[in-house]
Amino acid sequence: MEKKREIFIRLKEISEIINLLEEIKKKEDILRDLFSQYDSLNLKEDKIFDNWSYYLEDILQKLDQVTL
Amino acid sequence: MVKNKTKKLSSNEIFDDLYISMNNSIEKRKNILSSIKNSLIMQDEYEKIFQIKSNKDSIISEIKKEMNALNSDYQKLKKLLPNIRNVLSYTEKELEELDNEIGVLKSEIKIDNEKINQRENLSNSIIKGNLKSKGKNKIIKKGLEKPVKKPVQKKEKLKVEKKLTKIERIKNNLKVIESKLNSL
Repeated sequence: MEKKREIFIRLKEISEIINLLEEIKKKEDILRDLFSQYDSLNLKEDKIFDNWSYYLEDILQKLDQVTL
Repeated sequence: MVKNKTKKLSSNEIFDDLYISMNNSIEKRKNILSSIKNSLIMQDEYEKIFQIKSNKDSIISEIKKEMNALNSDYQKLKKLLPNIRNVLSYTEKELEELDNEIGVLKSEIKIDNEKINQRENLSNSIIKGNLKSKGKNKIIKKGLEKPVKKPVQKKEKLKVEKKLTKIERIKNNLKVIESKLNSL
């Protein structure tokens, strides 16, 4: 029978580690919000460019219809 | 009496300008106006795009600042936490070495136990042989004691001789055992 050997790792200054982890979590949440905002702005920009294409096509069609 | 001040056009002047009638003038007006409207909408959205790009630039700068702060925090964490990679690799190696050593030791222990058992068996067999020889000496002593006092001396002599013989026997037994172990 093989006995499982457990390995223990000693952690020093646990309070500082915990504080650091909390700060990291907050900053990660902030970053997620910023990235989501950036994505929303990108989507808006893409929509505007799509609308531009439609508007241009509409203008060209209507000007073609205007014939004397 | 009122005089007519209006001038009368000559026939040439009447026939210089050409006038053509427009068909569907209302639709044409609508088309022109809608195209103008669309162009104005596009200009408005063009300004919106500028605003969106400025907002995106500000967000990117904030993201960069936050990322730099996060990286500094991660580096602090790395310093506080132990280096696990080397520790785990060393412990695994040590465990393997220990396992190998344990296996070697177990095999050596088995061999040693076998040798010990053999020695014990040999010593027991030799001791049994000596005990049998001791019994014969006792019988000889009894016979000698009855007639003459001499056997007392002889006993003493025998005792003295026994002591010597015991030591010698032990030495001889050891020699035999060592020779047999060496042969094994």
